[in-house]
Amino acid sequence: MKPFCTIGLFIISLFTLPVYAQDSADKVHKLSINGYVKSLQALTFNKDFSDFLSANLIHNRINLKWKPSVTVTAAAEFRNRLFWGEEVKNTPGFTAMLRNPNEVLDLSKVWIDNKGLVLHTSIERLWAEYRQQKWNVRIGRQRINWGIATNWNPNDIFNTYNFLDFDYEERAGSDAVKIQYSFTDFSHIELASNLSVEKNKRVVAAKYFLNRSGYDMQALAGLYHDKLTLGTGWAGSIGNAGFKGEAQLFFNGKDSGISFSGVMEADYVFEKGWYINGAVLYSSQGMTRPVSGWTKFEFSPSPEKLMPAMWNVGFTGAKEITPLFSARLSTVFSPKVNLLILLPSLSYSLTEDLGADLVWQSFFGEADTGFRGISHRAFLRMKWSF
Amino acid sequence: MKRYVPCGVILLLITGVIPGVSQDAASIVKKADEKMRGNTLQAEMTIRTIRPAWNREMQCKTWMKGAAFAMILIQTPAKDRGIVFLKRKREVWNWVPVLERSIKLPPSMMSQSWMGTDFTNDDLVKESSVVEDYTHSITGDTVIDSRPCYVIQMIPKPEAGVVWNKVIVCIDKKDFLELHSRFYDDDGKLVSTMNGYDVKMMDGRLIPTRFEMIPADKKGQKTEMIYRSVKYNKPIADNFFTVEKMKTLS
Repeated sequence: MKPFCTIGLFIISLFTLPVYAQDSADKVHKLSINGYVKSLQALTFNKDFSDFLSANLIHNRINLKWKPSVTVTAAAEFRNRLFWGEEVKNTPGFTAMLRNPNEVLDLSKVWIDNKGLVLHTSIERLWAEYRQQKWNVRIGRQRINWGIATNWNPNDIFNTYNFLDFDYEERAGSDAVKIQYSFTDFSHIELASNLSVEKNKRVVAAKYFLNRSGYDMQALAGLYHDKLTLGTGWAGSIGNAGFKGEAQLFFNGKDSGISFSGVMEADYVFEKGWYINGAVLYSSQGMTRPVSGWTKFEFSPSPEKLMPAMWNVGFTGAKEITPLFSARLSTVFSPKVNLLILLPSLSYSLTEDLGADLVWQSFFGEADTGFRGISHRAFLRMKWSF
Repeated sequence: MKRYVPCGVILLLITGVIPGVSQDAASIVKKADEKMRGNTLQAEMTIRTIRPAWNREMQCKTWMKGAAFAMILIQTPAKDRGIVFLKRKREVWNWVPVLERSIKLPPSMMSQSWMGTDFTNDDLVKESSVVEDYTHSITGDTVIDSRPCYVIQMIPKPEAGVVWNKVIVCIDKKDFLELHSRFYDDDGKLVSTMNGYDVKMMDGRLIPTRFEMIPADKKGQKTEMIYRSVKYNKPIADNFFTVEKMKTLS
């Protein structure tokens, strides 16, 4: 409970500040509040649609940002989720899975944990930043986003995300300190460390960024879970097409050797709202053979292994049918393992602040009986932003 | 236009222009362009996308410097609040506050619709040169809203890579206001029309403060751009137009 008391006070102080700010001539005390409420209904089907599980989620996020001066910014972001349905009921240890493993401090609270009903709050971001012309330092729970490519991010060594978790737009953060120094308008160095005391969770790294000849380029080096790691990434263009990539090497010590994860991708925007993106991801630790006995497709990605398979080819095609209505189809195919993921989705804007999405996830794989469906999930989401 | 949205940038001493004196077409276009753009421009705008069955409105803030630098911050609607577009010469980045990261956009995105409007990305952050990329000729006179105007034909230079085959612009003879423009494709077909309305004094300049972009082949469809406030020639350092600055705007 203790962190909640402190955080409660922090919030109260945040809410009282704009009153002073409005009365005073000093307009720098700027507090902004935004967020959303989402309703997500999900159905998970088995391989041949003979059985399904339902899951329901009301998902609320409240983001507070406070700028007491031009040099200081503080942020607190809260994620409240109310889960119910068969999936909650049938998943042992459901609440334990809600915790972000990157976090050192537990700033989450389970308010209700009945059979089939869970209410969970977590403080997703809680940081303060000091910014000068050349320097900035950010301390606290934050997202250190070192990815530069679109689909997969081997360079994102602080807080890897699961690309299937489309409802978690902000993605997980980590408890860390980050210092940035700018050499020029378009070159800087970032030094970052998470606050983990456990060696096998610690990440300490530096990233150098440079923009030259139309390319954003970066190089990084550090320790990831007690292993030396080196990486590089770029984002530029060839002709009118976007061209991006990331590569990350991990030195696992004498016994395990070196592992490598790399992605290369291109994207293009065509006439009349068409967008395509193609990507290839290689993870040396990935599987190279079909897996027997798939029942569900679940995995915990890490920068070393962003997908279960060694080779993965991704393709996305999207079309803005009208400015209010768009369709998207993403596919991922892993050769050798023969895993295929189909991710079609439709988005519709009902009003300026209310949107609806229909999202489908189908998984197919090679099994004893040949190539067949593993599982399928359907989601209907409404989102109101404020 | 689409190369000719008056949203960008040098203070011109209009008082030095004596009405009635014959002017060449290129210098008229140049004066109108410079009047609307200034050396630097900061503006707050409302953009309304109008369709037969629905309307959408967004508010944004823009900063521009010369032809090379532009920044646009979306202020409303709530779901897009804090999104920033940065253009430096030919490169464009998009800051997505939800993801806390900047995304480098492919050059092919520039010719496409910006945020679902009838404006392209190019229109809003153009390093357009309506002066250098075209040859200009005065083809006649007209009157728009009781204002006598020059009718000027602009033909793109072959090397300019302009998407239009021809642009007709009507520019007010006295105050050099661009009040009407038509954009034609390679087949000589009208693609879109732009009108300027609500001429007002903004930051010491008389300018149209509302523009309509009307696609020719889509009935009941248009996008309106309204300048709520404009500031000309306030110094903006080049290092304002950086990915780092983009992060701090919202």
